[in-house]
Amino acid sequence: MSSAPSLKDTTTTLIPSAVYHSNTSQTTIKLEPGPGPHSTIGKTSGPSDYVMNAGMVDKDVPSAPSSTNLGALRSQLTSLQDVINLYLTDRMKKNVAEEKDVDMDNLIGEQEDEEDAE
Amino acid sequence: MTRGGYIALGLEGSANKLGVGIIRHPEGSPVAHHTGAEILANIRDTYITPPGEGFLPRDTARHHRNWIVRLIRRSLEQAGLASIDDIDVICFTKGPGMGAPLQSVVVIARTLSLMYNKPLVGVNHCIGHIEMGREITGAINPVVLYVSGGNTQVIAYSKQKYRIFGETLDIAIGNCLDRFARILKIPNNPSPGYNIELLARKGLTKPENFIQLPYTVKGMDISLSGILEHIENLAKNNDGGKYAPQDFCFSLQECLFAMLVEITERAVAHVNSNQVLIVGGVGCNLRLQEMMKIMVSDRDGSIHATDERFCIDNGIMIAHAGLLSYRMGDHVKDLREAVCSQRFRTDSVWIDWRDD
Repeated sequence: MSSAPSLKDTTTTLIPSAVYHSNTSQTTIKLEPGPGPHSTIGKTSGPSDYVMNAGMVDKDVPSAPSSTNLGALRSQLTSLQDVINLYLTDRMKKNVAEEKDVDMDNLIGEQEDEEDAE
Repeated sequence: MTRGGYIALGLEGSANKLGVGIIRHPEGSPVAHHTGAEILANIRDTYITPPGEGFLPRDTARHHRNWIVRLIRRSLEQAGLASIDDIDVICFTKGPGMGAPLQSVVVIARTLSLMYNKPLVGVNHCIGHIEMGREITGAINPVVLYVSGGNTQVIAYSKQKYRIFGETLDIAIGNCLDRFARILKIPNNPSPGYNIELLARKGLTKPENFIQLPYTVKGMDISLSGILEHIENLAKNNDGGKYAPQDFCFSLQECLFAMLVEITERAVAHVNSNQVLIVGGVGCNLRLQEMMKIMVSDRDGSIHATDERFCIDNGIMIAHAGLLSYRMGDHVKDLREAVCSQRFRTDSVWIDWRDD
């Protein structure tokens, strides 16, 4: 086995991004983490309100990022996840507000038949 | 192959336990029975919620994501390995289980595989329990009772597959116990099932306080939802505090475990076996083991069970089963195959490391 971790030394210039497209949208959206500052504590990836209201003590806070390139990538990914979550939540809210009719036939057409999937 | 043997890292996170294990199989060891495996590390961290609450997929996945790297580092340290470079194969739970927690573990397995250029093996969680149980106890060809929070199955091996002879028709036995624990606000630490066991050990407050429950066995299958609903209603409307928590716990355990013993005995008779292996989180329950032992002894057989290190979900069982599979030449050929599934039947796995 090779012992050369392929990602370790190549993260200096890497900026993570995500691309979103769906059958119900004409446009493809590219999402990026933004200018920062970035950290491993996300705005949308904390514990759910439900368990906190039930008396949960949060012991699962993410560790702080290291000062390496991988640490920086971790922080940027957390920000990117926030951007994705906010975008999708906003999109769902808009759909509900507009009472948009989703063409279910198109959606179903993309799925495998249950029998075929077995 | 590393240092005169094979070393595997196992990652388990199908429910609220996050487990990391590192195992070594000696060079040239058999794969069919008892490899002489050496456990180098077996670490677990459990997502525990307040009394009366279950664990939600999103929060459980968050727990796994935020602890996995720390657990892997600790396991490497415990195993005396410098880095993942010293490991031959990375094994992860492919399913069955809760989607979000499973995904969080698959992502880390894929990432490590890419970073360290290591092969990946996806493991069926149930097969992990069975193979680890066989390795630890020395049982060769037992009827297996697999009882946990998500699964209740009676299994026996035949022709390269672990065949399911009987199972729950609705909820799993551990789920039944956990959900009842929520009604009585029994703490989830270390686990609701264990706390029920402790209460049941106190016995009935009065002999007449034994609660008759709707015992439901159908051939080699059982049904548990009716029992749960019945005892939940009794607990919610406990007439003037007639029943103490220990009365509920004792009665529930006796009914559920008697059903498990009955279906296991039926399978034992059917396959003409004299060994019973109990695996899964509920398998650590000493009362279940005791009741099963009475049945097995009557048939001149032997019972095999493990303690909480191996009964409760853990990473070492994933490492062991994954390594058995890897040594037969099986591993993920394309990263796109490194996925998980909430549904993954025990009898859908081809067991090529065992004989007919």
